[in-house]
Amino acid sequence: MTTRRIPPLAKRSRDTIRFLEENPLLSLRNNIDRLFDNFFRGFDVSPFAATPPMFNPSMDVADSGKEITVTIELPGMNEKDIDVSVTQNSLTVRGEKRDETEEKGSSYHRMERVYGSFTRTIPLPVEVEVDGARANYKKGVLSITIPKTEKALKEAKKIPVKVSGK
Amino acid sequence: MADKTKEIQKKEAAEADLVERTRAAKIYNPDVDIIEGKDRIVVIADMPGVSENSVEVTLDDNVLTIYGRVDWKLPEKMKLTHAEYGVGDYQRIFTISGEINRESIEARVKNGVLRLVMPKNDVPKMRKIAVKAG
Repeated sequence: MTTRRIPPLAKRSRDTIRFLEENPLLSLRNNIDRLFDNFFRGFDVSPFAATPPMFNPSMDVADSGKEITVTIELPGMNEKDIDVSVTQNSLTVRGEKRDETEEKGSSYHRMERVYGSFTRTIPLPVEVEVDGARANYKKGVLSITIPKTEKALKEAKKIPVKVSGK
Repeated sequence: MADKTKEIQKKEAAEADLVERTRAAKIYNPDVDIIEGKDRIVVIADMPGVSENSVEVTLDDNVLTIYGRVDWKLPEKMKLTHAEYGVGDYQRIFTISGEINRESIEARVKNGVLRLVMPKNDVPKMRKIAVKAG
């Protein structure tokens, strides 16, 4: 018996489909593969991928025209454990949230809060003034304000839309 | 994938307990840890955006209510370009058992985290009585 190479699934040409029709076993195998893929997708985990970070804080980004403000919800952290770095076109926030409860040896009834370290990098839509960046941690919310560069401000010129007559 | 994780991180309260509110803000359920020690129960709630002045903890009969007001407005001229979390108030209601000493519940807020320490009543300690032969 000669074995044929299994064509890649991504490109399903007409030949592939015919090939699958002619090979019921292979087609069954593909269907089972897909079933497993979908099954794990439903749980939002992939069995073979690296475990996703537990602590992945959310951020909001706002734009005032001249500055960009990024706010991140980071309840219960020490400002010393937060590390913010800005490059001309990206912002990286790193941090570690530690479990500071001293209730050792007691039982947890609920554990919904997450601890651990995180790193988030977001691309910035425009070029920014790295030296002008300010970060402020208050009431569990970190806010970072970064001014845009002169160049970026110039580039973002508004183009008026005119109505042309008939 | 990230979207689903986010949902887990900040849950909007299903029904604001059938009480109509006068504030036009969303209500979220804060994530809590509840830890029971030998002589106390500690509740820790993540409520980013609240301060010690905007948290209310009430105990009515057996019902413990945690409520946190978040006063945050987008600064003028700012336009939100990307949003992953919503801003709103926090509320969560628990029923507590009789073993809590109501008079000495303590609440603290630091960096957006509420920490509630509820000491248990002094229950007579269990004593073991030695059984002698004879």
